Amino acid sequence: MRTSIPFDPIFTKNILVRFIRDEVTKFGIDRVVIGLSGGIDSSVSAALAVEALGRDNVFGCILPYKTTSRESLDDAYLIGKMLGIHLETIDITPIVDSYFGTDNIERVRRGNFIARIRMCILFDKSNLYNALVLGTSNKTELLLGYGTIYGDMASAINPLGDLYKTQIRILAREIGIPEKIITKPPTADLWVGQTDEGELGITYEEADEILYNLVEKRISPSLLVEMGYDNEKINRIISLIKRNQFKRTLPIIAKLSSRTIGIDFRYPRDWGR
Amino acid sequence: MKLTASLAQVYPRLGDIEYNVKRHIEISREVKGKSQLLVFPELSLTGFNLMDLTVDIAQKKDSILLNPLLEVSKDVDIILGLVELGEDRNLYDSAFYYSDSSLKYVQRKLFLTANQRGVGYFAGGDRIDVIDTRFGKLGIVIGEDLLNPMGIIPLVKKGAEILVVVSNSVSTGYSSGKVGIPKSALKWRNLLSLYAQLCSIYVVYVNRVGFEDGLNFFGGSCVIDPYGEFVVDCPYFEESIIHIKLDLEPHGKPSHFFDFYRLYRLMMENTYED
Repeated sequence: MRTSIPFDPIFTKNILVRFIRDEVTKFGIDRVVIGLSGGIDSSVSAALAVEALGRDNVFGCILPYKTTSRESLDDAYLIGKMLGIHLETIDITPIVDSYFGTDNIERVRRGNFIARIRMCILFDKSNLYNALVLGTSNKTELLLGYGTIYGDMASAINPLGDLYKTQIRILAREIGIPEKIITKPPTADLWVGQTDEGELGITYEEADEILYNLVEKRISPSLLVEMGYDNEKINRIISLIKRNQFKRTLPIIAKLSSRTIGIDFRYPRDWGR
Repeated sequence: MKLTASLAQVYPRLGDIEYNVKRHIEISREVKGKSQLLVFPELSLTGFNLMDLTVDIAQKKDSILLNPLLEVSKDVDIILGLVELGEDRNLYDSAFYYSDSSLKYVQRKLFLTANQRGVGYFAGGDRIDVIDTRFGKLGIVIGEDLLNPMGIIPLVKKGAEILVVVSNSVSTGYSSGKVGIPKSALKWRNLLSLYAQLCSIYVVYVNRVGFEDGLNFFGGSCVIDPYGEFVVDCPYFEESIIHIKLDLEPHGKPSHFFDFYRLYRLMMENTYED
């Protein structure tokens, strides 16, 4: 049985444009900086930012490593040019390779490092341009923990964090992202031949339906099996959600005083704004 | 009795009472002479997602910070919301009714939302009453108190002619039929219209707008007549102030709510055995 996840792309676009404008400008800032990978998520985030703040206030950074595919690079340029935003390219190969040298490094370790170097550059540009770092992590990735903590998961505000990947595809069509960016296989492109769905062992369609039923509908795993979803995939998804909870929290602090940050010293980010 | 009411669909600054008081005063001055009743949303002086600020910014009824509001209420009656520090040292999600330079009535939220209960800053109120205003009898309902019909019965029994519902309702979900409106807004519209029809009274709904840490308040303030028709609508998501003339003359539509009251008695007498 298939589940249809409710979605309204026009409404969503309206909210997210307001969200970006509001949550950036209330800090006395009117600019954002974003890493463009050529994928659908960063393309959608950038397009929303242009609508919210104007193209002159959006700074796109293309940050290729030597293994980054030609297609990713081309698509990143394509979206940057199409949106007419400030665009700069920084090859991070020398930075990454100067750390690892010629050692044969396990690919996940290198991939995490690449993601974190990109984060370092984006936050440096944030300071340089007086611009907030705009996040590009979607809800599917955040729930499954398919991202690098303090790497691509780091940002100041994230407009896509409550949207499943399949919803982002619908939104992307609504806002005019080129079809080739929408339909190509999603990839973190941290090593040659990597694809999200290959690594996760499940398609985004399947993952999103199971996640939506588990998270939004609070349907029990046993009922999901009765509904026809694969037991092994359900268990794998639940295990990923639990195992990666640490990526969705701030570092925990041992309580000593009567008021501890994060436990009983709790203030909103928008304090006084 | 006729009156002009103003619905102030504002975007409060989170935890900044001084700023919000100033904004309330400005708006009060703007509506002076045009309106007899100015309604702000729930927690309009404080914002919603306060966390520990709830404790920091709580005000007693007679706080000097609120004095400017007393003053402007000589020109227009004002309903506003804040965190009240009660004489019992509890914190309440309260609506204050100012009129003629005095604080005429305090309505404390009766039934806290799951979030408010879970975090445990607020205590629930234990009183709901009608306010005898110069233009008729009015009852204030705070946010999801509306979901508890038993809490509304006293207002109807005591002859309320207007139900003022103040809220901090967040945009959640996608509505299938109506593009551009969150599912939560549709839920509220249905509820409000239902109450207007059941109680046979005007319902004035004032919700806030703006973002707080990603929470998005949808606005959509409105007035519904005793027949359940929407007579005026504020836009969604935008700050807005609208004025609406209400005719509180008897409209001849009987209330169904007293049947509801009988139902309540039947339920109490037949459901529970002592």
